[in-house]
Amino acid sequence: MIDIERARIAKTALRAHLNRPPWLRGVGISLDDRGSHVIRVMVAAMNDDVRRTVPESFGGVPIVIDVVGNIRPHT
Amino acid sequence: MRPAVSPKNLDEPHEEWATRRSHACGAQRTWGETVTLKFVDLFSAHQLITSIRSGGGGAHVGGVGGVFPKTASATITPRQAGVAIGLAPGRNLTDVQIAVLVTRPNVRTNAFVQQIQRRTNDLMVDKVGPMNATDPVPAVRSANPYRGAIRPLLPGSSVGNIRKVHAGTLGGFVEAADGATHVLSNNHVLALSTLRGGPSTAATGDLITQPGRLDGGSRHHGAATLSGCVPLDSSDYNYMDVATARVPNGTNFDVSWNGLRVRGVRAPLLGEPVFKVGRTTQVTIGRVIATDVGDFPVEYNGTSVYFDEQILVQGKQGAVFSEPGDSGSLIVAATDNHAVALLFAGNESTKHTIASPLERVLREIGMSLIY
Repeated sequence: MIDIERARIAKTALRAHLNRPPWLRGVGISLDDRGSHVIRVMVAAMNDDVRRTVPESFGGVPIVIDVVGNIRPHT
Repeated sequence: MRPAVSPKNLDEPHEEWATRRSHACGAQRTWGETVTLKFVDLFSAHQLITSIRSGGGGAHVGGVGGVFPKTASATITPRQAGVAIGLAPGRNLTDVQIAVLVTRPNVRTNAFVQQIQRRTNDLMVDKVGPMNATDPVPAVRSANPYRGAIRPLLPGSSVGNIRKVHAGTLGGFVEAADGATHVLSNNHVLALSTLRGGPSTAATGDLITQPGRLDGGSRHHGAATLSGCVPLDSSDYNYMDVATARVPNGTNFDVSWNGLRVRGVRAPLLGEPVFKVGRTTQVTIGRVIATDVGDFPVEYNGTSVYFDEQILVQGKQGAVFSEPGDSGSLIVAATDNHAVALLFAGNESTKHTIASPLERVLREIGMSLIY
């Protein structure tokens, strides 16, 4: 089980590693089905660049990819 | 049949009513009062209404055996007195009430109301008391109640800046250090996406309408005035999209979210169920699926603004949690009714909603949530 502090450290390092590519829509922390913390990488769309760039885990913390599209103010 | 109320109840001086209204609604409201009468049948009520509207006395009210004597004081019409009069549903199916709305109390309106009261001797009187909602707000019809003109002001209802045809959500009410009450919503709702160093899109003192202009709001629906915002910054990370609008002293407002009272403010928890009440999708439930979300770009008028330390919410079982118009909604934890975040953006196609943790928002603006 990965606790939230370990996930936060890995997430911070992953953000620096990714360096805000144009398809990135955010990096956060989530829970998996077992209640263990994971890194959630949000992207505009799934493409080869995403698959090539985002690793399966970072700093020992698993990564899940979530396609969220473009986020807009909700008015 | 209910027993008749003692006539002395009807002789209550109108000045006292006026005082009660003053306490109830404050300086921003018009005066209002109802005189409610219980009739045996609707026909009788119609006859009395017709008689009163024409200013005539002596009309025989069938069914209740009452005869209104024509007197000198019975010649004032509602229009002359500056009052509105009509029928309203009673408490039971067989009840009908007469509602008299006094918008400008003066000697003439008082005389008119007393004139009606004198006619009630042969009628069953159900109740004499103040009305709750007499704001000078034109009605806005909508199938979605949160898009209409709602008074007292209510969290979840439509709101917007008078400068733009748009609508967001009134998230809640906050109290400043000086005790003043403010509406809490988003910068892009109340302050029209005020950007640090950018062109002026809104100004302190702008009229905030409820509902927003997209929902039929106009200058007649003023609810507050823009009091401040945290400008969005396109060159640095942002932690919230927030603005406030001061509510005039004495304005009535409700602090229930779809009938529920918030019990406090705390940090959102990963995985917890939440709900929100918003102008577009009304009441929805969802779950916090991510926290500590950074490097999150949101497009404001063609400018990408990056956010950090946000939360991501998804609707329950694949349902949408928010749509355009829900911006400004307060997100509340379903387990303990604590407010946890301020909704401001999303993607209705992928059903993701982004929101700012509320504790930090309140710290930044130096106000406390009223609940």
